[in-house]
Amino acid sequence: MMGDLIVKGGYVYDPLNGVKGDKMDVFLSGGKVVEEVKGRDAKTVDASGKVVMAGGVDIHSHIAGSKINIGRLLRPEDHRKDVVPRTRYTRSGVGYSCPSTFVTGYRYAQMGYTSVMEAAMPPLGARHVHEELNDIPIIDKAGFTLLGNNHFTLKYVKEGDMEGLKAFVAWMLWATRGYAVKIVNPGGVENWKWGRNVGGLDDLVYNYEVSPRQIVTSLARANEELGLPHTIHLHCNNLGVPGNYETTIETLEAVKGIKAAEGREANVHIVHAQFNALDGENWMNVKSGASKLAKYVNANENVTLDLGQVIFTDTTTMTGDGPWQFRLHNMTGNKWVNSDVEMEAGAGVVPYTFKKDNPANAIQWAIGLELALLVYDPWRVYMTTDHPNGGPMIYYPKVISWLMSRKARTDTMLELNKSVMRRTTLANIYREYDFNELATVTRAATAKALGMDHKGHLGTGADADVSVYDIDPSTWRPSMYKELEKAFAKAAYTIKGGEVVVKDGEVVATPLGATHWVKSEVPEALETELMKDLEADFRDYYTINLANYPVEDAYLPTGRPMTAEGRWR
Amino acid sequence: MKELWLTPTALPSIPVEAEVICPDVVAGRTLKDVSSLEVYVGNKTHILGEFFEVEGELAEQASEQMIVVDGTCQTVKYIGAKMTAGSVHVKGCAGMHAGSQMSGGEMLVEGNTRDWAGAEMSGGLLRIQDDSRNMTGGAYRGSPEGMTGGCIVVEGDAGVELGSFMRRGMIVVKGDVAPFCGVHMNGGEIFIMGQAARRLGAEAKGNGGFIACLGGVDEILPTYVHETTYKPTFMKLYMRQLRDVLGLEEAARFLETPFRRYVGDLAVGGNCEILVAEK
Amino acid sequence: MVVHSDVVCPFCGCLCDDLEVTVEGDEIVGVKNACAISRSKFMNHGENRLQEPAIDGKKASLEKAIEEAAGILADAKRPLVYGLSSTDCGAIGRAVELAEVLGGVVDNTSSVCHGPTILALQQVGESKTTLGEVKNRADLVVFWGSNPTESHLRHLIRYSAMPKGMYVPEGRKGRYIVAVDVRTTRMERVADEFVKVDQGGDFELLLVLRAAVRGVKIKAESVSGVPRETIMELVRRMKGAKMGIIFFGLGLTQSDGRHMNIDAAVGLVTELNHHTKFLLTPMRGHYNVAGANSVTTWQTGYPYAVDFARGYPRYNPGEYTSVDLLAKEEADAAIVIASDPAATFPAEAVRHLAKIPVVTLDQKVTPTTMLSRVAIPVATAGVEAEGTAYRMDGVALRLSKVVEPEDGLLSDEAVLEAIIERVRALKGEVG
Repeated sequence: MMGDLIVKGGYVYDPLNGVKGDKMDVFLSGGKVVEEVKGRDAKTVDASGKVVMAGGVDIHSHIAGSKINIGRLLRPEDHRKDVVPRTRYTRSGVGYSCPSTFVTGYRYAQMGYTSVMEAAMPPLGARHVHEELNDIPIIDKAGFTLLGNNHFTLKYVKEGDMEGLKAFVAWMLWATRGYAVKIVNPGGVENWKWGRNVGGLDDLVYNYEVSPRQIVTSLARANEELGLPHTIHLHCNNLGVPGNYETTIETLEAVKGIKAAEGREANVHIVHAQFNALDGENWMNVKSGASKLAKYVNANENVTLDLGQVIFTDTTTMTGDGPWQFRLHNMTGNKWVNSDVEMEAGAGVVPYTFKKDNPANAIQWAIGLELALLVYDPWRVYMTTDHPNGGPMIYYPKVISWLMSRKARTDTMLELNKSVMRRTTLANIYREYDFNELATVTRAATAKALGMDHKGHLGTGADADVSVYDIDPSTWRPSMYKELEKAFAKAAYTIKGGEVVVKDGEVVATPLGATHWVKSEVPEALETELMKDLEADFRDYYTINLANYPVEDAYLPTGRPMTAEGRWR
Repeated sequence: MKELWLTPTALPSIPVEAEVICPDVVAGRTLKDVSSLEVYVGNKTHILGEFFEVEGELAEQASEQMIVVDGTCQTVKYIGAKMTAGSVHVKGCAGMHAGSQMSGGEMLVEGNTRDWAGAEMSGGLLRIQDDSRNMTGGAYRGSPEGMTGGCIVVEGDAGVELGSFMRRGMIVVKGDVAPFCGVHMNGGEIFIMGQAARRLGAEAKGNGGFIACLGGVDEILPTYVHETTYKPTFMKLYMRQLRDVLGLEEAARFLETPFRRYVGDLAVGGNCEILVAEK
Repeated sequence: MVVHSDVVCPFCGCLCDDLEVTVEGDEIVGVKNACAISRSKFMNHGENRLQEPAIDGKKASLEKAIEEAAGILADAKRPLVYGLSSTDCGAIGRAVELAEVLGGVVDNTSSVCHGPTILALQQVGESKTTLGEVKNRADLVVFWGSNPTESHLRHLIRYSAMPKGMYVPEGRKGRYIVAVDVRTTRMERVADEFVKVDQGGDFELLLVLRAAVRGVKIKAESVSGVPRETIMELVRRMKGAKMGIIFFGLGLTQSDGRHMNIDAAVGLVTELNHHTKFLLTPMRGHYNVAGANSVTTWQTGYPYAVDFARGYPRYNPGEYTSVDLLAKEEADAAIVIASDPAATFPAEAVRHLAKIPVVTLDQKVTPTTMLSRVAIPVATAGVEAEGTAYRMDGVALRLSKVVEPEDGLLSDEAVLEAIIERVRALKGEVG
């Protein structure tokens, strides 16, 4: 049993509980935050003069499974620039854009992150995802199950069978030990199986004759009626296509009226919104559509989004959006992996370098920050780089500096292609996040959006995940953004489940974190119907037997199920 | 130039990784310091002095430093790797990765080299007076760019995939080359004075690059087309340069030679040129 | 009598998951749905077993054997960890860890089979799929340098030629099958068209096909022995397919051109994607060679030929590959897991293997166990032990345990764990 721990004397930022930089102690016992620790055995972590927050919660990242592993396999030239030797406590590996599993855990923890969501888990690849998650130390994890192009989803949507769809979604979350419903380019990925795509919300999916609009709204409705902790996690159609902010807004309009599950207003989360907020007709005259999207989001409380912030570096793009990745390959001439998954999904991987002198890249960089700064409510816009798509997660401290310091933004902007001044509004934005807002967009709000009540805050009963950063908010000024970057790159302490795992930026312990998943009971009659359906189609169309499909308990040594109460007719 | 002499004593059978045999590393140090520089043998760390007698003089700047390796070192890897200036002279053979990723200075190997000599080189001159093995001036695994500058001269024969993924720079081989010379080439110049094996220029995008075959070709890929036979003026300039700057007297024989020009690789929509000297 | 259904077959890269294994007591008495090879492996899994741990051919206790193995490896300067394609992923992960603790090299059998496929992927990528897409959609299937009638017996039936799929309801009749090879094989009878290519001429043929797909006019009368008309007809079929796939085998990866053959095949497939949907997939041999690549990649960033001498992973096939390390007399000790390099490696590599101390973990007596200093018998993954394996297309499946192993017989993973623990102790890393 872990001993008790007191995080003493830091400036605590706990936005969920209204604590805004108060100097106070945080008490940890039995893996939880407690009111007070009694007894003399408690160890102390000295946080005086430092910032204390709950452990970071990354809502959208690519850390485990076939897609990131293809990226690793594809890029030996990326690995050799960032090698990680073994230490007394840690395994060796490689870093940069496609870090090995052990290094993924270490690096997130070193930045004070303690929970990270794998945002795209193809059901047939779920076992693989869990194998890798079990090799990612320290952090808590969860996988989001890809359902937007799944045969059964399309079939139930076509038949208008909402109860069948709900039963299927609930069963799939169990079978894959998934946490949320992920949708990638709805309909487009199924059409890509024939080498095609969809161009808008009302295009049709071959053979199924359903539209992206129907897929998104049906899954959103199913998601909310099932009472799942998180909303649908949506990668919109037309990603990377100039003018696509319209598609994004059209999608949001389509789901607007759907009644959210109890306890929240949101019914849709738009992922890496930067890639879906482009205005203009083509890549030559592309401009930012961020202000238009932000305006919509400000007016509609059912929407949350994450940034997918661009970093100027060589990275590896990887998405479940196969047709987009083929486009990107053709635009860049870079090597291209496509990976289709029978009946369910697909993926593509292409190396990409965001360049400062490239007008489109400069605009994309600005769009991410515009979204973060133009959406007023930090509870609805979250910091991500869509690791490693917009850039590797090791650059989070850089993003933090851009959010908190206009000078940091200006200094970068001066190095960029001039189009950033003319075709975005970033230069005119003066807003700078304070530590409280930062804590919101990196942990409090993400945990809330995920429905993880025990994460993202430091109230009594929360998980004992705490990060301490060596920066003094009482003397810090936005001009000192380099110090900020340094402090957030290497946490003074990261505490996971009450155990100090990082000290002075170095990993000192490597416990295995939990894997979260959602359990949702299906009424017996519906389940019987569903199983009949599954059995028939598995026999006819899959290449593995239904009995070998669900992920076995053996793959969840640290599984942490959460129960969702559905509304059934 | 100040000369540092390294004389191999007893080299182990497991290769020694000695990227410290590089002007940039030794310049500014004392002989004693140089002798205790770390080298690697399998999973063990040793010091340079265990395998080499260290004598001579050390310069302050890499550009003033010459390193003479007085003996054969076939199992010593990374000699001259990543050097930016100065010179390295190996009076025998050199192991894998000799002069790899060098960006300046001069390296001379009197004997042969193993695989990846001059791989991903970006500047300087690497001269190998005997044979070089595979991937000379090539790209490391996964890299879209091999050689991006500088010059490699191989006076013997060269192995497969010479200059793979080459972007810029020049490679001259006096002897024969094995298959897949200039594979995925995307710029740069390769001159082959001996016989060129088949599959040269495979999947080359071109980008201004060419492969000149002065001593004959086994076979041209079917995805290259013969366009014309002519006497390019630029070739005359190159031949003079080979003769006068690199001291390759044979080049003089080709000053007036007509060349058959092939363009490809059409499989990738490339415009790389293979220029074959008429006999 | 117990009947285990939905059993995953741990023998080839097809990883068929519909076997029915009947067990009486501790004996397998029947196997249904399996191919001939699989059936015989299940039925005879008890034959020719390595009886007990041995040091220098003499019987030893398991503890002694592990102690000796750890001593050999911990003393080595350039230890090699090799094999891993016929065991489960747990063991593979441990083997990587062992190599890391030792500061040695970990390599698997893709080093001598589909290594070139991986090198090509690293150069240009690939367009692949899980096998169900082939079953459901492919109307053109090309087997290039691969002969599933001898190497992957149920591939044609379950995945690629015969099955009725969602958009290929006719099954075999709905598909046009092409086999390309340098010599006539039984695929000639299976395929609708057999294209015989000159030995060592695959690369040129692939390039010309790609050029023709791009619309380049082919002037040559024939390429690599294949007439122009045949080439143009093939291009027409490929571009006209609703969905096509190329399955390629060692005939392409291990023939003249090696990884460049695959590079060219990938290029052809990429080009075809401008016209229709086209994919390719390697026919992986050992049942978990895909898992060996997969696990090694997620733990180190690299799929095989990984060197930990400097404390962090480095990768370079041709330098850190087993055959190279042995032929150059570089490795000074080796541990072999679930593989038989003494029977399969080139002579100069085997000669060196016979000179250095070798530790082998295997179920059976093999040429490698016979030249080993230490031989440790283990339970058979997928028959006597559970675990994970990856199908040739990357789908992970759960291996089952259908019979109990003999008393005292541990899994590869458990033995490796024990060796790691001893090595750490010898290196003073405990605690």
